[in-house]
Amino acid sequence: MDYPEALEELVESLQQLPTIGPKSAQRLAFWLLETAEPKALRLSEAIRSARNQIRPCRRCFNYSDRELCQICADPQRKTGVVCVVVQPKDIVALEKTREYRGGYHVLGGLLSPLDGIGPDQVRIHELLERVREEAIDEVILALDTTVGGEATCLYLSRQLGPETSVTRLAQGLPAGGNLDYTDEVTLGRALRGRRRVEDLSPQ
Amino acid sequence: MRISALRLQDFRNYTFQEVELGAGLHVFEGRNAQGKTALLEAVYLGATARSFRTSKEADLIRWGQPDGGLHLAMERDSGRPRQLTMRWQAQPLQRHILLQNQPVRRLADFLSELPLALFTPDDLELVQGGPEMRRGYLDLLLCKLYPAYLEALGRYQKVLRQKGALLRAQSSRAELESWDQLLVQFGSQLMQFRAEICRQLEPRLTSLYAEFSGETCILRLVYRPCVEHDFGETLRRAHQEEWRRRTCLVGPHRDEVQLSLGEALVRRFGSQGQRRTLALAMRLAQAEMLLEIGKERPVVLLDDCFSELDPGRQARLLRWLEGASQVLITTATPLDLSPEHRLYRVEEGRVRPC
Ligand SMILES: [Zn+2]
Repeated sequence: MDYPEALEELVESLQQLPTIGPKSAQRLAFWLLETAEPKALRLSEAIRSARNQIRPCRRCFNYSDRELCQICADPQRKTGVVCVVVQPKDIVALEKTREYRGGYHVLGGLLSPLDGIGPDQVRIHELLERVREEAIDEVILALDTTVGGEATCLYLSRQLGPETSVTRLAQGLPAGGNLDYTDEVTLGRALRGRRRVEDLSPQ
Repeated sequence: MRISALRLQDFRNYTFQEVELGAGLHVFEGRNAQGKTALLEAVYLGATARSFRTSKEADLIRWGQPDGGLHLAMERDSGRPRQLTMRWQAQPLQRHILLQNQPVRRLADFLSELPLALFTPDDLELVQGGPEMRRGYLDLLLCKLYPAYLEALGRYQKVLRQKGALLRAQSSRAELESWDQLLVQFGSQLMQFRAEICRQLEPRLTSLYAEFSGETCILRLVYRPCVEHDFGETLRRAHQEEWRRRTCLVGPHRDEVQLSLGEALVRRFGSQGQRRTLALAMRLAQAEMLLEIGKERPVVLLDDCFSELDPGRQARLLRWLEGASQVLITTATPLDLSPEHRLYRVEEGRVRPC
Protein backbone atom coordinates (compact mmCIF):
# COMPACT_ATOMS: atom_id res chain seq x y z
CA MET A 1 0.00 0.00 0.00
CA ASP A 2 1.25 3.50 -0.83
CA TYR A 3 0.99 6.30 1.72
CA PRO A 4 -1.37 9.16 0.90
CA GLU A 5 0.62 11.77 -1.01
CA ALA A 6 0.90 14.30 1.82
CA LEU A 7 2.19 11.66 4.23
CA GLU A 8 4.67 10.40 1.67
CA GLU A 9 5.96 13.95 1.26
CA LEU A 10 6.38 14.35 5.04
CA VAL A 11 8.34 11.09 5.33
CA GLU A 12 10.57 12.03 2.42
CA SER A 13 11.33 15.50 3.72
CA LEU A 14 12.17 14.13 7.17
CA GLN A 15 14.46 11.63 5.54
CA GLN A 16 16.51 14.46 4.07
CA LEU A 17 17.66 15.40 7.57
CA PRO A 18 21.13 14.24 8.59
CA THR A 19 21.28 10.96 10.58
CA ILE A 20 17.61 10.19 9.76
CA GLY A 21 17.04 6.93 7.88
CA PRO A 22 13.78 5.65 6.36
CA LYS A 23 12.62 3.95 9.56
CA SER A 24 13.17 6.97 11.81
CA ALA A 25 11.55 9.23 9.21
CA GLN A 26 8.48 7.04 9.25
CA ARG A 27 8.33 7.04 13.04
CA LEU A 28 8.67 10.82 13.22
CA ALA A 29 6.01 11.35 10.55
CA PHE A 30 3.51 9.19 12.42
CA TRP A 31 4.30 11.00 15.66
CA LEU A 32 3.69 14.36 13.99
CA LEU A 33 0.31 13.15 12.76
CA GLU A 34 -0.76 11.55 16.02
CA THR A 35 0.39 14.20 18.51
CA ALA A 36 -1.70 17.23 19.49
CA GLU A 37 -1.86 19.75 16.68
CA PRO A 38 -0.19 22.76 18.42
CA LYS A 39 2.76 20.56 19.35
CA ALA A 40 3.25 19.44 15.77
CA LEU A 41 2.75 22.88 14.28
CA ARG A 42 5.21 24.37 16.77
CA LEU A 43 7.93 22.57 14.80
CA SER A 44 6.88 23.99 11.44
CA GLU A 45 6.60 27.46 12.99
CA ALA A 46 10.04 27.13 14.59
CA ILE A 47 11.59 26.15 11.26
CA ARG A 48 9.92 29.06 9.50
CA SER A 49 10.94 31.73 12.02
CA ALA A 50 14.48 30.43 12.39
CA ARG A 51 14.88 30.50 8.61
CA ASN A 52 13.45 34.02 8.48
CA GLN A 53 15.23 35.59 11.42
CA ILE A 54 18.60 33.89 11.70
CA ARG A 55 21.34 35.04 9.34
CA PRO A 56 25.10 35.20 9.43
CA CYS A 57 26.57 38.06 11.47
CA ARG A 58 27.86 40.74 9.09
CA ARG A 59 31.24 40.74 10.77
CA CYS A 60 32.08 37.22 11.98
CA PHE A 61 29.44 35.04 10.22
CA ASN A 62 28.22 33.56 13.50
CA TYR A 63 24.45 32.96 13.54
CA SER A 64 22.53 35.99 14.73
CA ASP A 65 19.06 37.55 14.71
CA ARG A 66 20.55 41.04 14.33
CA GLU A 67 23.04 42.46 11.91
CA LEU A 68 25.80 41.92 14.47
CA CYS A 69 25.83 38.83 16.66
CA GLN A 70 25.85 38.99 20.45
CA ILE A 71 29.59 38.58 20.64
CA CYS A 72 30.42 41.23 18.02
CA ALA A 73 27.97 43.66 19.64
CA ASP A 74 29.48 43.21 23.12
CA PRO A 75 31.72 46.21 23.97
CA GLN A 76 33.42 44.20 26.74
CA ARG A 77 35.05 41.82 24.24
CA LYS A 78 38.72 42.33 23.48
CA THR A 79 39.53 43.79 20.06
CA GLY A 80 42.63 43.02 18.04
CA VAL A 81 42.33 39.26 18.51
CA VAL A 82 40.18 36.87 16.50
CA CYS A 83 39.62 33.15 16.83
CA VAL A 84 38.96 31.31 13.56
CA VAL A 85 36.51 28.39 13.62
CA VAL A 86 34.84 26.24 10.94
CA GLN A 87 31.20 26.38 12.07
CA PRO A 88 29.06 28.50 14.41
CA LYS A 89 28.65 25.52 16.73
CA ASP A 90 32.40 25.60 17.43
CA ILE A 91 31.88 29.07 18.94
CA VAL A 92 29.42 27.58 21.39
CA ALA A 93 32.01 25.01 22.47
CA LEU A 94 34.73 27.64 22.92
CA GLU A 95 32.43 30.05 24.78
CA LYS A 96 31.67 27.34 27.32
CA THR A 97 35.29 27.40 28.47
CA ARG A 98 34.82 31.09 29.51
CA GLU A 99 38.54 31.54 28.91
CA TYR A 100 38.46 33.44 25.68
CA ARG A 101 37.27 37.07 25.47
CA GLY A 102 38.14 38.09 21.91
CA GLY A 103 36.15 37.94 18.66
CA TYR A 104 35.49 35.08 16.25
CA HIS A 105 35.48 34.39 12.53
CA VAL A 106 33.49 31.53 11.00
CA LEU A 107 35.20 30.10 7.91
CA GLY A 108 32.31 27.90 6.83
CA GLY A 109 34.53 25.03 5.70
CA LEU A 110 38.03 23.62 5.32
CA LEU A 111 40.19 23.41 2.22
CA SER A 112 39.39 20.18 0.40
CA PRO A 113 40.26 19.95 -3.30
CA LEU A 114 38.50 16.56 -3.44
CA ASP A 115 35.23 18.31 -2.65
CA GLY A 116 36.01 21.30 -4.85
CA ILE A 117 36.54 23.55 -1.82
CA GLY A 118 39.36 26.02 -2.32
CA PRO A 119 40.21 29.38 -0.69
CA ASP A 120 37.38 31.09 -2.60
CA GLN A 121 34.74 28.70 -1.30
CA VAL A 122 35.45 29.49 2.36
CA ARG A 123 35.60 32.94 4.01
CA ILE A 124 39.34 33.50 3.79
CA HIS A 125 39.21 36.81 1.90
CA GLU A 126 36.74 38.12 4.45
CA LEU A 127 39.13 37.16 7.24
CA LEU A 128 42.12 38.85 5.59
CA GLU A 129 40.05 41.97 5.05
CA ARG A 130 38.95 42.04 8.68
CA VAL A 131 42.50 41.59 9.92
CA ARG A 132 43.52 44.66 7.88
CA GLU A 133 40.53 46.83 8.71
CA GLU A 134 40.19 46.03 12.40
CA ALA A 135 43.93 46.13 13.06
CA ILE A 136 43.91 42.56 14.32
CA ASP A 137 47.38 41.44 15.36
CA GLU A 138 46.58 38.06 16.87
CA VAL A 139 44.79 35.20 15.11
CA ILE A 140 44.01 31.95 16.90
CA LEU A 141 43.14 29.03 14.65
CA ALA A 142 40.71 26.63 16.30
CA LEU A 143 40.30 24.18 13.42
CA ASP A 144 40.01 20.38 13.40
CA THR A 145 43.18 18.36 13.55
CA THR A 146 42.18 16.49 10.39
CA VAL A 147 44.44 16.92 7.36
CA GLY A 148 41.93 19.42 5.98
CA GLY A 149 42.22 21.43 9.19
CA GLU A 150 46.02 21.27 9.10
CA ALA A 151 46.20 22.38 5.47
CA THR A 152 43.82 25.28 6.13
CA CYS A 153 45.94 26.41 9.10
CA LEU A 154 49.11 26.36 7.03
CA TYR A 155 47.44 28.23 4.19
CA LEU A 156 45.99 30.88 6.52
CA SER A 157 49.23 31.48 8.36
CA ARG A 158 51.03 31.97 5.05
CA GLN A 159 48.35 34.40 3.86
CA LEU A 160 48.33 36.33 7.14
CA GLY A 161 52.07 36.86 6.98
CA PRO A 162 54.64 37.42 9.69
CA GLU A 163 53.16 40.70 10.97
CA THR A 164 50.24 38.81 12.52
CA SER A 165 50.78 36.46 15.43
CA VAL A 166 49.17 33.19 14.33
CA THR A 167 48.74 30.42 16.89
CA ARG A 168 46.63 27.32 16.86
CA LEU A 169 44.93 25.10 19.35
CA ALA A 170 46.61 21.78 19.09
CA GLN A 171 47.67 20.44 22.44
CA GLY A 172 45.18 18.07 23.92
CA LEU A 173 42.94 17.88 20.89
CA PRO A 174 42.67 14.28 19.76
CA ALA A 175 44.37 13.74 16.39
CA GLY A 176 41.87 13.79 13.56
CA GLY A 177 39.21 14.96 15.99
CA ASN A 178 36.53 17.57 15.57
CA LEU A 179 36.37 20.55 17.85
CA ASP A 180 32.77 19.70 18.31
CA TYR A 181 33.42 16.48 20.24
CA THR A 182 36.00 17.91 22.58
CA ASP A 183 35.00 18.66 26.16
CA GLU A 184 35.41 22.08 27.79
CA VAL A 185 38.33 21.11 30.01
CA THR A 186 40.35 19.88 27.04
CA LEU A 187 39.44 22.95 25.02
CA GLY A 188 40.42 25.25 27.89
CA ARG A 189 43.79 23.54 28.16
CA ALA A 190 44.21 23.82 24.40
CA LEU A 191 43.45 27.55 24.51
CA ARG A 192 46.15 28.17 27.08
CA GLY A 193 48.75 25.93 25.43
CA ARG A 194 48.41 26.99 21.81
CA ARG A 195 51.41 26.95 19.54
CA ARG A 196 52.72 29.02 16.67
CA VAL A 197 51.71 27.46 13.37
CA GLU A 198 55.28 27.43 12.03
CA ASP A 199 56.32 25.17 14.91
CA LEU A 200 53.85 22.46 13.95
CA SER A 201 55.79 20.73 11.23
CA PRO A 202 59.45 19.72 11.29
CA GLN A 203 60.42 21.51 8.06
CA MET B 1 48.89 -16.16 19.75
CA ARG B 2 46.72 -18.97 18.51
CA ILE B 3 43.11 -19.38 17.50
CA SER B 4 41.18 -21.84 19.63
CA ALA B 5 37.92 -21.64 17.67
CA LEU B 6 36.75 -20.09 14.43
CA ARG B 7 33.07 -19.50 13.80
CA LEU B 8 31.59 -18.41 10.48
CA GLN B 9 28.04 -17.35 9.86
CA ASP B 10 26.78 -16.49 6.39
CA PHE B 11 30.38 -15.88 5.44
CA ARG B 12 31.34 -16.68 1.80
CA ASN B 13 29.78 -20.09 1.06
CA TYR B 14 29.41 -21.03 4.74
CA THR B 15 25.97 -20.97 6.32
CA PHE B 16 27.19 -21.82 9.78
CA GLN B 17 30.46 -23.45 10.70
CA GLU B 18 32.44 -23.83 13.85
CA VAL B 19 36.00 -25.18 13.80
CA GLU B 20 37.94 -26.02 16.95
CA LEU B 21 41.65 -25.49 16.54
CA GLY B 22 44.64 -26.42 18.64
CA ALA B 23 48.36 -25.76 18.60
CA GLY B 24 50.53 -26.97 15.71
CA LEU B 25 49.69 -27.93 12.13
CA HIS B 26 46.18 -28.02 10.68
CA VAL B 27 45.59 -29.15 7.12
CA PHE B 28 42.37 -28.30 5.27
CA GLU B 29 42.00 -30.54 2.26
CA GLY B 30 39.42 -30.11 -0.47
CA ARG B 31 38.81 -29.41 -4.15
CA ASN B 32 38.75 -25.83 -5.41
CA ALA B 33 35.83 -23.51 -4.63
CA GLN B 34 34.66 -25.59 -1.65
CA GLY B 35 35.56 -23.00 1.00
CA LYS B 36 39.14 -23.84 2.04
CA THR B 37 40.56 -20.42 1.36
CA ALA B 38 37.58 -18.70 3.01
CA LEU B 39 38.78 -20.18 6.32
CA LEU B 40 42.16 -18.53 5.96
CA GLU B 41 40.54 -15.37 4.66
CA ALA B 42 38.47 -15.15 7.84
CA VAL B 43 41.57 -15.41 10.01
CA TYR B 44 43.39 -12.88 7.83
CA LEU B 45 40.49 -10.45 8.15
CA GLY B 46 40.71 -10.84 11.90
CA ALA B 47 44.35 -9.80 11.77
CA THR B 48 44.32 -7.03 9.19
CA ALA B 49 40.66 -5.97 8.64
CA ARG B 50 41.33 -6.67 4.96
CA SER B 51 40.80 -9.60 2.66
CA PHE B 52 43.64 -10.93 0.54
CA ARG B 53 41.12 -12.05 -2.10
CA THR B 54 38.83 -9.13 -2.68
CA SER B 55 38.55 -5.41 -2.11
CA LYS B 56 34.75 -5.65 -2.22
CA GLU B 57 33.65 -6.42 1.31
CA ALA B 58 30.12 -7.19 0.10
CA ASP B 59 31.55 -10.41 -1.41
CA LEU B 60 32.20 -11.70 2.10
CA ILE B 61 28.51 -12.00 2.94
CA ARG B 62 26.92 -15.25 1.78
CA TRP B 63 24.97 -14.64 -1.41
CA GLY B 64 21.51 -13.19 -0.82
CA GLN B 65 21.93 -12.76 2.96
CA PRO B 66 21.40 -9.42 4.76
CA ASP B 67 24.52 -9.86 6.89
CA GLY B 68 27.32 -12.23 7.75
CA GLY B 69 30.40 -12.45 9.87
CA LEU B 70 33.03 -14.29 11.79
CA HIS B 71 34.13 -14.87 15.34
CA LEU B 72 37.61 -15.77 16.54
CA ALA B 73 38.25 -17.14 20.00
CA MET B 74 41.97 -16.63 20.52
CA GLU B 75 44.54 -17.41 23.14
CA ARG B 76 47.63 -15.31 23.79
CA ASP B 77 51.03 -16.92 24.39
CA SER B 78 50.44 -16.04 28.04
CA GLY B 79 47.23 -18.12 28.01
CA ARG B 80 44.95 -15.07 28.25
CA PRO B 81 41.80 -15.50 26.11
CA ARG B 82 40.75 -12.88 23.54
CA GLN B 83 37.50 -12.59 21.60
CA LEU B 84 37.15 -10.95 18.22
CA THR B 85 33.94 -10.54 16.22
CA MET B 86 33.52 -9.01 12.77
CA ARG B 87 30.17 -8.51 11.10
CA TRP B 88 29.21 -7.14 7.74
CA GLN B 89 25.81 -5.77 6.89
CA ALA B 90 24.86 -5.76 3.21
CA GLN B 91 22.71 -2.69 2.71
CA PRO B 92 24.06 -0.17 3.27
CA LEU B 93 27.41 -1.92 3.47
CA GLN B 94 28.70 -1.61 7.02
CA ARG B 95 31.37 -3.32 9.04
CA HIS B 96 31.38 -3.76 12.80
CA ILE B 97 34.39 -4.98 14.74
CA LEU B 98 34.19 -6.03 18.37
CA LEU B 99 37.26 -6.83 20.41
CA GLN B 100 36.48 -8.36 23.80
CA ASN B 101 32.85 -7.42 23.02
CA GLN B 102 33.76 -3.72 22.77
CA PRO B 103 33.41 -1.83 19.49
CA VAL B 104 36.80 -1.01 17.97
CA ARG B 105 37.13 2.68 17.18
CA ARG B 106 40.77 2.93 16.24
CA LEU B 107 42.12 0.52 13.66
CA ALA B 108 45.49 0.71 15.43
CA ASP B 109 44.09 -0.96 18.56
CA PHE B 110 42.88 -3.81 16.45
CA LEU B 111 45.85 -4.33 14.12
CA SER B 112 48.25 -5.01 16.96
CA GLU B 113 46.04 -7.81 18.26
CA LEU B 114 46.70 -10.86 16.09
CA PRO B 115 50.20 -11.34 14.62
CA LEU B 116 50.00 -13.31 11.42
CA ALA B 117 51.92 -14.41 8.34
CA LEU B 118 50.18 -15.45 5.14
CA PHE B 119 51.76 -17.39 2.29
CA THR B 120 49.95 -17.58 -1.05
CA PRO B 121 50.97 -18.48 -4.62
CA ASP B 122 50.66 -14.74 -5.39
CA ASP B 123 53.61 -14.01 -3.09
CA LEU B 124 55.81 -14.37 -6.15
CA GLU B 125 54.58 -10.90 -7.04
CA LEU B 126 56.46 -9.55 -4.02
CA VAL B 127 59.63 -10.28 -5.93
CA GLN B 128 58.69 -9.93 -9.58
CA GLY B 129 55.80 -7.46 -9.37
CA GLY B 130 55.92 -3.67 -9.34
CA PRO B 131 57.29 -1.56 -6.47
CA GLU B 132 53.78 -1.18 -5.01
CA MET B 133 53.93 -4.86 -3.99
CA ARG B 134 57.04 -4.31 -1.90
CA ARG B 135 55.72 -1.05 -0.47
CA GLY B 136 52.58 -2.93 0.55
CA TYR B 137 54.75 -5.60 2.17
CA LEU B 138 56.57 -3.00 4.29
CA ASP B 139 53.34 -1.13 5.04
CA LEU B 140 51.52 -4.17 6.39
CA LEU B 141 54.44 -5.14 8.61
CA LEU B 142 54.92 -1.58 9.90
CA CYS B 143 51.20 -1.01 10.47
CA LYS B 144 50.98 -4.14 12.57
CA LEU B 145 54.05 -3.20 14.58
CA TYR B 146 53.72 0.55 15.05
CA PRO B 147 50.43 2.45 15.55
CA ALA B 148 52.34 5.67 14.77
CA TYR B 149 53.11 4.34 11.30
CA LEU B 150 49.48 3.48 10.63
CA GLU B 151 48.49 6.99 11.68
CA ALA B 152 51.14 8.65 9.49
CA LEU B 153 50.29 6.42 6.51
CA GLY B 154 46.59 7.18 6.77
CA ARG B 155 47.24 10.90 6.92
CA TYR B 156 49.82 10.80 4.15
CA GLN B 157 47.36 9.05 1.84
CA LYS B 158 44.63 11.58 2.62
CA VAL B 159 46.95 14.49 1.85
CA LEU B 160 48.09 12.76 -1.33
CA ARG B 161 44.50 12.34 -2.55
CA GLN B 162 43.75 16.00 -1.79
CA LYS B 163 46.86 17.19 -3.57
CA GLY B 164 46.08 14.95 -6.54
CA ALA B 165 42.60 16.47 -6.76
CA LEU B 166 44.11 19.97 -6.64
CA LEU B 167 46.54 19.16 -9.44
CA ARG B 168 43.76 17.71 -11.58
CA ALA B 169 41.43 20.66 -10.96
CA GLN B 170 44.25 23.20 -11.53
CA SER B 171 42.28 25.54 -9.28
CA SER B 172 44.41 27.36 -6.70
CA ARG B 173 48.13 27.01 -7.02
CA ALA B 174 48.69 29.06 -3.85
CA GLU B 175 47.23 26.15 -1.90
CA LEU B 176 49.77 23.66 -3.19
CA GLU B 177 52.50 24.63 -0.72
CA SER B 178 50.24 23.95 2.27
CA TRP B 179 49.47 20.42 1.09
CA ASP B 180 53.15 19.88 0.31
CA GLN B 181 54.13 20.93 3.80
CA LEU B 182 51.85 18.20 5.20
CA LEU B 183 53.13 15.71 2.63
CA VAL B 184 56.64 16.37 3.95
CA GLN B 185 55.54 16.10 7.56
CA PHE B 186 53.85 12.70 7.23
CA GLY B 187 56.00 11.40 4.36
CA SER B 188 59.22 11.94 6.33
CA GLN B 189 57.85 9.77 9.11
CA LEU B 190 57.03 7.01 6.62
CA MET B 191 60.50 7.14 5.11
CA GLN B 192 62.20 6.91 8.50
CA PHE B 193 60.18 3.87 9.48
CA ARG B 194 60.73 2.19 6.12
CA ALA B 195 64.49 2.77 6.15
CA GLU B 196 64.75 1.33 9.64
CA ILE B 197 62.65 -1.78 8.97
CA CYS B 198 64.64 -2.49 5.79
CA ARG B 199 67.87 -2.34 7.81
CA GLN B 200 66.40 -4.91 10.19
CA LEU B 201 64.94 -7.10 7.46
CA GLU B 202 68.08 -7.53 5.37
CA PRO B 203 70.20 -9.78 7.63
CA ARG B 204 67.18 -11.90 8.46
CA LEU B 205 66.28 -12.30 4.82
CA THR B 206 69.88 -13.17 3.94
CA SER B 207 70.06 -16.03 6.41
CA LEU B 208 66.58 -17.33 5.56
CA TYR B 209 67.35 -17.25 1.85
CA ALA B 210 70.65 -19.07 2.37
CA GLU B 211 68.93 -21.69 4.50
CA PHE B 212 66.15 -22.35 1.99
CA SER B 213 68.12 -22.13 -1.24
CA GLY B 214 71.43 -23.61 -0.20
CA GLU B 215 73.03 -20.84 -2.27
CA THR B 216 75.76 -18.72 -0.81
CA CYS B 217 75.54 -15.55 -2.93
CA ILE B 218 75.00 -12.22 -1.23
CA LEU B 219 71.41 -11.06 -0.91
CA ARG B 220 70.74 -7.35 -0.63
CA LEU B 221 67.51 -5.61 0.26
CA VAL B 222 67.95 -1.90 -0.37
CA TYR B 223 65.42 0.77 0.43
CA ARG B 224 65.38 3.26 -2.44
CA PRO B 225 63.29 6.21 -1.32
CA CYS B 226 61.86 8.40 -4.06
CA VAL B 227 63.49 11.36 -2.32
CA GLU B 228 67.09 10.96 -1.13
CA HIS B 229 67.69 14.43 0.36
CA ASP B 230 65.54 17.34 1.52
CA PHE B 231 61.98 16.31 0.70
CA GLY B 232 60.64 19.87 0.88
CA GLU B 233 63.22 21.26 -1.54
CA THR B 234 62.71 18.36 -3.97
CA LEU B 235 58.97 19.03 -3.95
CA ARG B 236 59.52 22.72 -4.65
CA ARG B 237 61.72 21.90 -7.61
CA ALA B 238 59.09 19.47 -8.92
CA HIS B 239 56.21 21.96 -8.67
CA GLN B 240 56.30 23.09 -12.27
CA GLU B 241 56.42 19.54 -13.55
CA GLU B 242 53.69 18.31 -11.18
CA TRP B 243 51.39 21.17 -12.16
CA ARG B 244 51.97 20.49 -15.84
CA ARG B 245 51.48 16.72 -15.60
CA ARG B 246 48.66 17.06 -13.06
CA THR B 247 49.94 14.29 -10.83
CA CYS B 248 51.96 13.81 -7.62
CA LEU B 249 55.46 12.87 -8.72
CA VAL B 250 57.47 13.08 -5.50
CA GLY B 251 57.08 11.23 -2.20
CA PRO B 252 57.16 7.84 -0.48
CA HIS B 253 54.19 6.67 -2.57
CA ARG B 254 56.86 6.16 -5.24
CA ASP B 255 59.47 4.44 -3.07
CA GLU B 256 61.12 1.23 -4.26
CA VAL B 257 62.68 -1.67 -2.40
CA GLN B 258 65.34 -3.39 -4.47
CA LEU B 259 66.23 -7.02 -4.06
CA SER B 260 69.48 -8.27 -5.54
CA LEU B 261 71.50 -11.47 -5.50
CA GLY B 262 75.19 -10.89 -6.03
CA GLU B 263 75.23 -8.08 -8.55
CA ALA B 264 71.94 -8.90 -10.27
CA LEU B 265 68.47 -7.50 -9.54
CA VAL B 266 66.25 -10.47 -8.77
CA ARG B 267 63.24 -8.83 -10.36
CA ARG B 268 64.94 -8.78 -13.76
CA PHE B 269 67.58 -11.49 -13.70
CA GLY B 270 66.56 -14.01 -11.04
CA SER B 271 65.48 -17.54 -11.97
CA GLN B 272 61.96 -18.71 -11.16
CA GLY B 273 63.34 -20.90 -8.37
CA GLN B 274 65.28 -18.01 -6.86
CA ARG B 275 62.23 -15.77 -6.96
CA ARG B 276 60.03 -18.35 -5.34
CA THR B 277 62.48 -18.98 -2.54
CA LEU B 278 63.01 -15.28 -2.00
CA ALA B 279 59.26 -14.65 -1.78
CA LEU B 280 59.02 -17.42 0.82
CA ALA B 281 61.93 -15.93 2.74
CA MET B 282 60.24 -12.50 2.70
CA ARG B 283 57.13 -13.92 4.31
CA LEU B 284 59.16 -15.86 6.85
CA ALA B 285 61.14 -12.73 7.70
CA GLN B 286 57.88 -10.83 8.18
CA ALA B 287 56.73 -13.45 10.69
CA GLU B 288 60.04 -13.39 12.53
CA MET B 289 59.93 -9.60 12.84
CA LEU B 290 56.40 -9.74 14.24
CA LEU B 291 57.61 -12.17 16.88
CA GLU B 292 60.76 -10.25 17.70
CA ILE B 293 59.25 -6.77 17.94
CA GLY B 294 55.66 -7.65 18.81
CA LYS B 295 56.65 -10.30 21.38
CA GLU B 296 53.79 -12.63 20.43
CA ARG B 297 54.16 -15.79 18.32
CA PRO B 298 52.34 -15.38 15.00
CA VAL B 299 49.70 -17.59 13.44
CA VAL B 300 50.89 -18.83 10.04
CA LEU B 301 48.57 -19.37 7.06
CA LEU B 302 49.66 -21.26 3.94
CA ASP B 303 47.15 -21.03 1.14
CA ASP B 304 47.60 -23.67 -1.51
CA CYS B 305 51.33 -23.14 -1.83
CA PHE B 306 52.93 -25.92 0.14
CA SER B 307 52.75 -28.47 -2.66
CA GLU B 308 54.54 -26.06 -5.00
CA LEU B 309 57.75 -26.40 -3.03
CA ASP B 310 60.25 -29.17 -3.74
CA PRO B 311 60.67 -31.84 -1.02
CA GLY B 312 63.84 -30.25 0.35
CA ARG B 313 62.20 -26.86 0.85
CA GLN B 314 59.07 -28.47 2.23
CA ALA B 315 61.14 -30.21 4.87
CA ARG B 316 62.95 -26.98 5.79
CA LEU B 317 59.70 -25.08 5.95
CA LEU B 318 58.17 -27.71 8.24
CA ARG B 319 61.16 -27.37 10.53
CA TRP B 320 60.76 -23.58 10.59
CA LEU B 321 57.03 -23.92 11.24
CA GLU B 322 57.70 -25.82 14.44
CA GLY B 323 58.47 -22.41 15.97
CA ALA B 324 55.04 -21.01 15.05
CA SER B 325 52.30 -21.36 17.60
CA GLN B 326 49.74 -22.43 15.02
CA VAL B 327 49.78 -23.21 11.31
CA LEU B 328 46.77 -23.49 9.00
CA ILE B 329 47.42 -25.04 5.57
CA THR B 330 45.00 -25.44 2.68
CA THR B 331 45.63 -27.90 -0.12
CA ALA B 332 43.83 -29.46 -3.07
CA THR B 333 46.06 -32.54 -3.13
CA PRO B 334 46.89 -34.73 -0.12
CA LEU B 335 50.11 -33.67 1.57
CA ASP B 336 52.74 -36.01 2.81
CA LEU B 337 53.46 -34.44 6.19
CA SER B 338 55.52 -36.50 8.58
CA PRO B 339 55.04 -34.45 11.77
CA GLU B 340 51.85 -34.65 13.71
CA HIS B 341 48.99 -32.65 12.28
CA ARG B 342 45.22 -32.46 12.29
CA LEU B 343 43.43 -33.11 9.02
CA TYR B 344 40.09 -31.62 7.98
CA ARG B 345 38.09 -32.15 4.81
CA VAL B 346 36.35 -29.15 3.26
CA GLU B 347 33.37 -29.74 0.99
CA GLU B 348 30.60 -27.38 -0.15
CA GLY B 349 30.93 -24.97 2.74
CA ARG B 350 31.37 -27.63 5.41
CA VAL B 351 34.46 -28.55 7.41
CA ARG B 352 34.82 -32.08 8.77
CA PRO B 353 37.68 -33.20 11.02
CA CYS B 354 39.11 -36.57 9.95
ZN1 LIG C 1 29.59 38.40 14.95
